[in-house]
Amino acid sequence: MSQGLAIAIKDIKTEFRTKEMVFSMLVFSLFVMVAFYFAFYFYSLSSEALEPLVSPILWVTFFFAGMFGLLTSFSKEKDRGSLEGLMLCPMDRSAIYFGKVLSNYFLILLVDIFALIFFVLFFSYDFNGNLLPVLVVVFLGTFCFVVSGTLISGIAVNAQDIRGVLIPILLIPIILLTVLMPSVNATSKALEGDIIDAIPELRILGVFAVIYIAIAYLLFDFVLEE
Amino acid sequence: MPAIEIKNLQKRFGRKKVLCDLNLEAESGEFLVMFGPNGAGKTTLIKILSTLSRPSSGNVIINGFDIKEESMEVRSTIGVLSHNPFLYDDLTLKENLIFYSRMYKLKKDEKTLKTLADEVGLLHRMNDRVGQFSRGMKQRAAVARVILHNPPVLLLDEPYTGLDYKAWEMLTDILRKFHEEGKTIFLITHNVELGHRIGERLAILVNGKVAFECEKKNMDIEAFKGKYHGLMGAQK
Amino acid sequence: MKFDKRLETVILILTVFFVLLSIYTALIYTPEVREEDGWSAPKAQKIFYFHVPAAWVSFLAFGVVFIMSVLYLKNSLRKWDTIAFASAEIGVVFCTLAIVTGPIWGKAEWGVYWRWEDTKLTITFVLWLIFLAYLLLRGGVESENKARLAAVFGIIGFACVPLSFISSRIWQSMHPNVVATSEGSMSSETGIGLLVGVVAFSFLYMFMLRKRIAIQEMASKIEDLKEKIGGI
Repeated sequence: MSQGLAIAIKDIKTEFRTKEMVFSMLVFSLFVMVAFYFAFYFYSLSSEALEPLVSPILWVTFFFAGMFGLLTSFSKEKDRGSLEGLMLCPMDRSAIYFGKVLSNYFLILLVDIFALIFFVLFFSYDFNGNLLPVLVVVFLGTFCFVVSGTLISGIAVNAQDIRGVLIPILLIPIILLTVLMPSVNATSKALEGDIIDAIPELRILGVFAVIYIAIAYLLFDFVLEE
Repeated sequence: MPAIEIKNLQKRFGRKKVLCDLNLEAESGEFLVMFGPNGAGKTTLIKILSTLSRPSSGNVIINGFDIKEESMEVRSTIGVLSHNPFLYDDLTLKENLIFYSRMYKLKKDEKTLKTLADEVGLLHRMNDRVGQFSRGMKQRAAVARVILHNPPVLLLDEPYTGLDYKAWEMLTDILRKFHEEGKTIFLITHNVELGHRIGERLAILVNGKVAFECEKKNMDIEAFKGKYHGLMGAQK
Repeated sequence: MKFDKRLETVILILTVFFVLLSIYTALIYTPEVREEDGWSAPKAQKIFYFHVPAAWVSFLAFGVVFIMSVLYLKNSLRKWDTIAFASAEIGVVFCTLAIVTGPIWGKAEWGVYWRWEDTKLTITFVLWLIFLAYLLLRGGVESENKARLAAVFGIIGFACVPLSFISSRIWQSMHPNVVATSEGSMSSETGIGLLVGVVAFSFLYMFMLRKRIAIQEMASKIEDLKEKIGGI
């Protein structure tokens, strides 16, 4: 486990030196917000009409920006050849998975927070003191997204030419019902101020996070093997 | 006890057989050089020995550990150097070494890391990013990474690719030194002259099989070259 | 070899027999549901003797993909991978039938093609997407890694399904009044009709699977021959 942590720290350190991934994720999430803003411009949404759209807009942004991050998390290592260096180390292959989960979680959460800020700015939205429950859902939903996405990203990195398209193609059907829907529902409920109501969804997210981690722990050896 | 013991090793990729019935042994402390034309399966062999790839059938024992059953132990007894240094360009040499020593669960203090860097002649560049290094320096840095955990068996896959003369000489000196220290060295290359010069025992891999094996002292360079070129024609 | 040939003949005969029988049971034998029971399009309901077996076979086929994937990862024998691939292809075909016939009936009965609240339909649709992705993954990865990665994804994909059902339960309880049940009260004739359909489609699946595997094996034999005569 300490090795997984070391990988995560290394990833975050290199990321903050180059800022490639975080920067492109941030810009992308900004663009998505801009796109949503102009898409709804015609209706000049009142805050009441905006209400049901808040959580879908947020999560669509989180997921698509997050997918950018997942894209490079393994492909950078693979293209540089350093993935082989990691695989030569005397540790379980799942340590690589856990390391990547930690670094992806950290970076994608960071982007999520910025996306939230962009959202508040563009739609001049007021969370009315419900920000904390929303953040709880964001933390859990993003975690579930990252554990499934890191696994899929490990699979897709092997497809040299089409890995860019393969991640969304493989990931979206998997997370539709297991991550996207519960996250959106839970956020909507949290926005209504009742986090207690959202407990069934949060429970689903928790269960799926555990399941994806278990699958990855069992199968990640096969994903990285050559 | 032989340090590397390969028995009836086979590797198939789908339909294609890359290695077929490969048998090879290297005694502990031996300097074994394997030659082979492109497509003979050299890199596949190294990948299997270093537990990156799983054999389709057959057995490989490295330092007494089975690569299928005890891959963890195998990984901690081998050092692998290829033409790719496996280092992170955005980290300094020191950070790279610290990262890899964490990966091997080693506690390395400042001083040991410095001696290590000194050994490969990079002490003055400890705090520079590896991305700024020249090809030869990167390869020397990679040597420092390889010997971090002091492995008794070294697997080298074309480590000379792209090196200039100076780096070339330096790497050869380092390999000689390791050999004197009693490490087992398994070098793969297609450069006959170089291999013949530094190796102790020579083997030729053609079509996934060991086609020829000899002690260096029994065969001079010209005779060996003739043999190699003769066998090369057989490669499909 | 001889046994294999005979088995195939038996399966073929059974398939033809049951398919014909299922057409009879579905169209003539089973009683029409009555409008008094709350069905707005009684004739259209007959499509269920086609829809349910198709959905059943697709679930069966994807289950086979799952099992074969596990077996392949255990001992990496090519035949498991071949079966998994063949089964996934056929599963996608039957799944397509199921999600096409569903809306056809939905339009007649509800007046809309699709109701996302119908969790069964939605999950079947997501399953269809997952295995479409599975086939795309197989197309995009080189041969050495293809079987292994596809096996991993097949396991992930199928593992999501029963879990999606469980999670959808919770939404159902959240929105009890919008949930559409797709089955009425079942009479014994209806039961027999469905059973015959399921048996017929299962035999059809078995027959198609064997044929698909045979084609796959033949293709790899051709590759072997090509290699032998020197075309690399």
